[in-house]
Parts: sequence; C-alpha cells; structure tokens
Amino acid sequence: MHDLTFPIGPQHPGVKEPVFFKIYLKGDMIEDMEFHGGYVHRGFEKLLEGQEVLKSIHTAEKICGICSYAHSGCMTQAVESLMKLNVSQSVKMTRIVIAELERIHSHLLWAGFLFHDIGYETLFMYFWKERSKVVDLFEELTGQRIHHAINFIGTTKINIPKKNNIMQTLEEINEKVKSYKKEIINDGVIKSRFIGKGIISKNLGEKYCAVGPTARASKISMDVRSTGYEGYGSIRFNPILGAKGDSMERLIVRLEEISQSVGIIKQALSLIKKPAEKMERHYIKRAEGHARIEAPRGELFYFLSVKHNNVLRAKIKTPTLNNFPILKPLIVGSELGDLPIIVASIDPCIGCMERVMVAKNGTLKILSKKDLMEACGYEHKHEH
Amino acid sequence: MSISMSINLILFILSPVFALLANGIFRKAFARFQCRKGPPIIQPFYDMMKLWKKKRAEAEESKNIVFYAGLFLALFFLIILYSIFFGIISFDHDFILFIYLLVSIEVAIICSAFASKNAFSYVGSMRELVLMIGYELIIAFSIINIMGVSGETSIFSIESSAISFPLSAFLLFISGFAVLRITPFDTVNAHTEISSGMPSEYSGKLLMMYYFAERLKEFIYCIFLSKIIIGWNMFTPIIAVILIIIYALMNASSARYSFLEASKRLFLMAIISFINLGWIGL
Repeated sequence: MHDLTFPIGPQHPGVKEPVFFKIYLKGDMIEDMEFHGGYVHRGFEKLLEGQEVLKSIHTAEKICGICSYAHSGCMTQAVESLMKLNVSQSVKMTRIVIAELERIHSHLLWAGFLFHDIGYETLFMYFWKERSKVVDLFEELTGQRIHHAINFIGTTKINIPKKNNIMQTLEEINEKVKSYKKEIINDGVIKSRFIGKGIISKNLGEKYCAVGPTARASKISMDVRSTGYEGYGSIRFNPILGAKGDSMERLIVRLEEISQSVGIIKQALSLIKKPAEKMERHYIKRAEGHARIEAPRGELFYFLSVKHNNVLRAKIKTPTLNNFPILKPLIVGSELGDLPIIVASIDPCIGCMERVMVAKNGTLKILSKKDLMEACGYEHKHEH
Repeated sequence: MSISMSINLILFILSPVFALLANGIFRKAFARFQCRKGPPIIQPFYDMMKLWKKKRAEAEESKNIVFYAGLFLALFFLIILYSIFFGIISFDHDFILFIYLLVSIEVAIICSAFASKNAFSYVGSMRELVLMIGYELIIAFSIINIMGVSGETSIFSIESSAISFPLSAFLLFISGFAVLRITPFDTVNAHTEISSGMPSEYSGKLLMMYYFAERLKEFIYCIFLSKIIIGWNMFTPIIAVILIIIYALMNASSARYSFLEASKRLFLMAIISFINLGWIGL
C-alpha cells in the first residue's frame, strides 16, 4: 500500500517536456507508476499528408528542435529511395557533416540537462557553453542555428567551403569534453547518483527493442550508420558499446560518441571534392519508399507514400517510441530522486514521440491488412 | 547604554539588510564560478519587493491557521535568535536556547509546509525532518563541545578561536551545507525532484516571508561560524563573507546527493560529533 500519490508533470522541472508520471510513493521509494501522455501531440503525420514532397522535407524538419536535421535528412532519403535517385559523394558527405554536428549538439545539450537534474548547475553551464559553439558553426555553415533547411531532393543548399574552422572548433570542444569526462568519472557524488541507477540489461534492451546510445550502453550493437547508408560506408568507425547499461554508462557512451563524431566529420570533410550540383524538379506519379537513419537519440524511420508529387501517407517512428516503454521497469523500485535521472538518461523527446489513437465508441476491433489499407485511402491493387 | 551595546543594537537592526546582501554575494560568486555574469548584489532586495507586490494564490485546502502561523512563528524565533547572538538578550547557558531556536525555526516551517497539504511540500518536509535530525545533532553536539572547551557560558561571549576546537568547527562548517541548502546536501529543495519542496504552496507575501526567513537563517549561521573560527572582532564579517564565497564555490562544484545518501552521511557525522564530545570529558 502506497503512502502518497505524487505528481510529476505535465509541468515539472524534472521532466523538460509536457508528460505526466503518476508516482505511488512508499517513503521515498517508488512503488508503482502510471504514464499519461497526449499533452504535446501536434499531428505532424496528418499535416504532411497532401503536402508537396519538396515542402514536406522542410515541414518534417520542424518535428524536433534538437534533431531537426535528422528528420529532414530521413525524409529526403525516403524520397530519394522511392525515386531510386543516386546522390553524389560530395552531397552525401556534406549531409554527414551536418548530421554529425547535430549529434554533437544533441549530446552536449542532453549532458547539460542530465547534470541540471542532479543539481550540478556548473557542468550544465559548461556543456551548454560548448553546445553554443556548435550552434555558431551551424549558423556559419547553413545560415540557421536550429532548423537548417539545407536538404533538397538529390542535393543540398549549401557547399562547405574549403577554408573553414569546423575542425578547429570541434577539436576545442573535444578537448573540453574529454576533460569533463575525466572529472565526471572521478567525482564521488556523480558516481553515487549514476552508477547502478536505471540498469538496462542486454536482455531487457533487446526485449523492448531499445535503440541508439541507450541500446549501445547495454552492449547491444545497434547503430544504423553501420549499414552504410548515405555514404557512411566510406567512413571508418565502430559503434561505441557500453557494458553495464546503467545511467553512467549511457552518459559515457554519449560523451565518447562526441569524440567519434569529430573523427567522422574529419573523414567526411576530406571526401568533399566538388560542390553540390543543382537538381531539376522531379515528378513522382505514384511510389512508396522508406528510410532509416541514426538520429542522435537512435534509429529514426520514415515510410513515405507519394501520389502526384504529394505525400499520401507519412509514417514516422522516432527513437523515443522504442526507448520510452522501458522506463517503467527502471523507475519502479527506485528512489524518487532517481526518477529525473533515469528519465533523462534515455534522452526522451516527447514532442517527437506523441501519437494519438482514436477509439470510437470505446470499442476495440482487430483490423486486417485490407481494412487498414482501405482506412488509409489505398487502392487494393496499386502500382508500386 | 555602553558603546559596545549600542553597536550590537545597530548590528541587530541592520542584520536583515546584511542577510540579503550576503545572499546577493552568494549568488554573484556562484554565477562567477559558472562563467556567468550573475545578478547584481542587491538582487535579493528586488526579489523581496517583487514578491511583496505579487498577489497570493493558495489552494483552498491550504488555507488553515498552521499554514500561515508557521512562517510568522519562524520569523519570531529568528528575532529571538538574533537578539541572543548580538547580546540584546544575554544570560548564562543561552547556548541551550540557541540550539532550541535553530531547531524551532525549522520545525515551524515544516509544520507550515505540512499544513499546506501539497504533495511537493509534504515530501520536502519529510526530507527536511529526517535531515534535520542529522544536522541539528551535529550543531548541538559541536556547540556543547565548544562551550565546554572554551569554558564560556554564553554564545555572545565566546572569544576562543577554532584552533581550540578544530573538529567541532569543521563539523559545523559541514552541517552548514544542509542549513544553507547547498549541494551535495540540498535534497530538501531539489527542484528537479520535488519542485523545491517546502515553499511549493507559498506565493506573494508568504513566499517573501519564507525566503526572508531562509536568508536570515543562512546569515546568522555564517556569522556564527565566523565567530567560532576567529572570535568576535573586526575580522568576523570578512571571514563570514569568505565563508559565503566558499559555500558558493562548493555549491558550484558538486552535484546533489540522493536523499538516502545525504541522510547516511549526516548521521555518520552526527556520530562523529557525539564522539567528539569526549574532548571535554563528557
């Protein structure tokens, strides 16, 4: 029997986005919890339907403010896959540079939030100071700090100049991150807060289909970049794997991935030989395609169906959709003070994840493939 | 009235101003350690004025006599505490009352927070109640030790320095982390866990009173610690400012312990301070 029902959210300093955890406390220990979502549903999948493909790339970018390029990149890749379009090496490498810069930006921002959750405001400030350097780089390269809008079908809007300060800035950031990592590993208080907290074993991670750094910290070799999409085949790198799967491991994996991304950007910059070429507008009569990429938080999947150059259906699966259900077994049985750490350690993005299910008259019905296709406006025998 | 008595009376009257300035120095130093510019030193005055003008908004369940009286009682106890410390009221063995008052201030605020029937205040009060047993025991044992070693009978008349009782002074410094709600012992008002805990239900003037009581408590503790370190002389305020800056540095350079970890460590230190009583042969 619990002592107190404790509300965390929908507006709470411990959770950075509108999400509600109903916590049943026994003393300071969490006996049970319920999750209530639906506070930040924005209906992006519906919004994309009917939009022109070129416009939909920029709409998709607005899904997330942290991994905005990942959404735009995945959408572009899905369009290029359904068009069976070959993209030049230079364009691919330019995209890799921006994608990896975004990974560095996302991990730095996340690390800052994690330390904010344990009251270490100084490290929060220091990580965000480094993060602002990456955002400055974005501004120099793309003209935009958050939503870069550089992707077009088969090409990019920008050309990375030969003389740039990318590597110089990134080396500075890398050195700082390494020194912070050294401090973190040796700090007794941080160790007491992170080590052994929110352990995701390899089995548990596989059972819940965890993705991204959350999975890799549990020794699950799950990195979409290893498949060699979008030019990653030309880049030498190995996924960084943790062992214990606790919050500390997830932090270390992300910090090491920052160094890894610096290495990837260095290789990608050396492979940019010529500027991106201009592409003509294409007409897509009817086609379906999909793409999956490694966003900063994990695997991002886009399914796209296009008819007469307009999006007929877009299905987006964000990494948080995989990682979020794993929270309940981690939170139940832990201390109340550990909840923000455990939630933050999987780096959730609620705004990307929220979906709405409409149950008419409160009745449940099992739909066949045929029913689903009819509901989605598909013809039974359509061209592929 | 003697000159020293007049000076003490002036200090007593001006102490709220000093308390708010001390908080301003703390915030400025804390910001500087984080490579931030930070607020001006007089920012706490602006904060108080702003809260004074704000309207109150409490839940219907919170509107009860204990909720309101707790804060007034805490401020009343603080006035008596300051009176003893600055020698306005002075009598033999006043250190016992000094210890009682330190506890009473916290208990009054805890009762008020409990009466608010707010879940965050409730958990914050529970945490404070447990931690208080730890750090108030440290303070009580250390003060008894200091009074015993120095041979004084009044807090106001302590003239010895920390060299005579180093461990007690050190333990008082450590318990200051819990009194001033500084990392790693700031679990009571951990905003990312319990939305700052006890003051969750206060608003407007009540919130101003809460912050004012907290600032007064922090200031008296720093001055008391300073007095313990070098005695009562012209360097006491300077040492108090240095202590505030050290606490700001510690706040900037550490994460927060979990509630259980903080409790364990404070109770361990309480045991050490109890053993330390052996110095005076108790």
